[in-house]
Amino acid sequence: MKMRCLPALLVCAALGGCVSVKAVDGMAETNVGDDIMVTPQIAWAGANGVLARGASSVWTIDGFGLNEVRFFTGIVAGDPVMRIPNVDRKDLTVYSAMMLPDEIMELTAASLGKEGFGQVRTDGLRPVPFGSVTGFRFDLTFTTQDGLLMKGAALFAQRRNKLDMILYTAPAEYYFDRSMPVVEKIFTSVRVPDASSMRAAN
Amino acid sequence: MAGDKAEKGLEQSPLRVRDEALNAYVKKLVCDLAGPQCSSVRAYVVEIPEFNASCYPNGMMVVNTGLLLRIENEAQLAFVLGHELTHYLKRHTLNQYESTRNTAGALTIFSLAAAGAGAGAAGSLAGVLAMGALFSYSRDQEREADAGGFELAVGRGYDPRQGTAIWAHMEEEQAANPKREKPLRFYANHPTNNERMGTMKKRADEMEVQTHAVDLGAETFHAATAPLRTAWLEQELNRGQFSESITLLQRMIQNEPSMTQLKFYLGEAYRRRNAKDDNTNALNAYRAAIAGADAPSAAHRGLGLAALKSGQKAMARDAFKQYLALAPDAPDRATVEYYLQTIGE
Repeated sequence: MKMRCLPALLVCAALGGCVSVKAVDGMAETNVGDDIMVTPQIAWAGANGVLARGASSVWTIDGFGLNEVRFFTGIVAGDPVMRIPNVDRKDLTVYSAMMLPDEIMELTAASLGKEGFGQVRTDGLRPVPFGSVTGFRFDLTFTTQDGLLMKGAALFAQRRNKLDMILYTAPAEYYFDRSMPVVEKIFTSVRVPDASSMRAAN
Repeated sequence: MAGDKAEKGLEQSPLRVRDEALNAYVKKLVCDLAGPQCSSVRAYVVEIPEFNASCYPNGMMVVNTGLLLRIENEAQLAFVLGHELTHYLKRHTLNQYESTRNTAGALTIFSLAAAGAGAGAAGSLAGVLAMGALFSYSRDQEREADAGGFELAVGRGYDPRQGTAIWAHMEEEQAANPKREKPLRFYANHPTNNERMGTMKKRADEMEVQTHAVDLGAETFHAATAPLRTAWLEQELNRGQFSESITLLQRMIQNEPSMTQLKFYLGEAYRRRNAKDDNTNALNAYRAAIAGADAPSAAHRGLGLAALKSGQKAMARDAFKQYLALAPDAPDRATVEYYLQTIGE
């Protein structure tokens, strides 16, 4: 698998001094942002800044931009989910605290489209636990500009009028299925300390 | 040549639309327009929701589904394809390719094109897109392409006034979203829509066309594109340019008032834009869709969502129940049941 853009991205990130890549301990419960705790299950390479593309952090096993778990946490009304270079903010669909779960799924699809992915399709929105409160899961597929078919799984919840989302994406061939069992465990390991402030869907 | 490598990648890309009937249709139209040059041009339809088409120095033509979604008939498509063919036949693309190759910045573009093209079995559109960045024509070349496209289309018997219609529609969409930047190459150096409309209208008027004597090819175009339109509309909404989508859908509904599918997507666009009065407009559009004979079950779900947002719980409950009755195996059944639970049955 060749990720041609990644070396350039890494160089830019290093030159910019706005990213740090470090090992993530698989067994240590980790705060991934906005007080959301997860257990990584296995060792990951973790980063933030440019490589996270709007997420508070991103983890990968085989390479950034290839298979990733991105943590979007504490997104407030009026903010886009993803920050996308060269796309004007006014051209991005933004989060609203009144969004229904269906609309969060649609917002995610639109955001991936703005990231440059094609044929973004979502499916199977369903309520699942997000820590001790109600969250939602959905599945997605999309195509990279290199013609690579990707699959994804998203888990999200709204609390304190903010959106928190964990988004796993990987090539449909081999990578997605290989790491999905680990990601499932990450999803079920979510712990939200202040569950009492969780907002249910309207 | 990078273009040939990029084309190999495009042939294998999952973004390429593989519907045989649509490909045969576009290929035939391109051939009819290209005449003796038919064998040197190869057309590909790609599932990209932006309005665009392009022709490359090696004869590869790329047509976006976002263009096909906005075209109303074969005559309009002939004008656009004729425009792109003229760039190719007048060697605009080749000249641009040669001049760009001699610039410092070209190295990056050619590297990207070659790299994208070498993506292997997965195929690549990145190389094609990188190649597209090469072709920034002068306005005079664009005017020449407009004139050439007009001659090719009218020469095949298409209504000369249809060239004006395309740019009028694009002007409407742009007016609906005036703050949006227009990043597409297709617009970058083109004459303004108003200039194009004026020029083409003048030419059409000079021809004194009789309405009954011209061919629009609306039925053949619709037959080729209608089976794929649902997927294209889904991707259109994923662009997140809802004001443009609403303008497009209103025009499509005007042309095809019995199409409940279009009313459903209009409701979706209003609901997702979520500006002032949009929820009411969404409710009305969903209701109009449901009133049709072949309304998609998702129209009931959309009505439920819009009703829920406006606090009309009884309407939301009825709509969600109707959705589950029509689509008992819906993959989002658990979420709809969750909505029903929060409403209180």
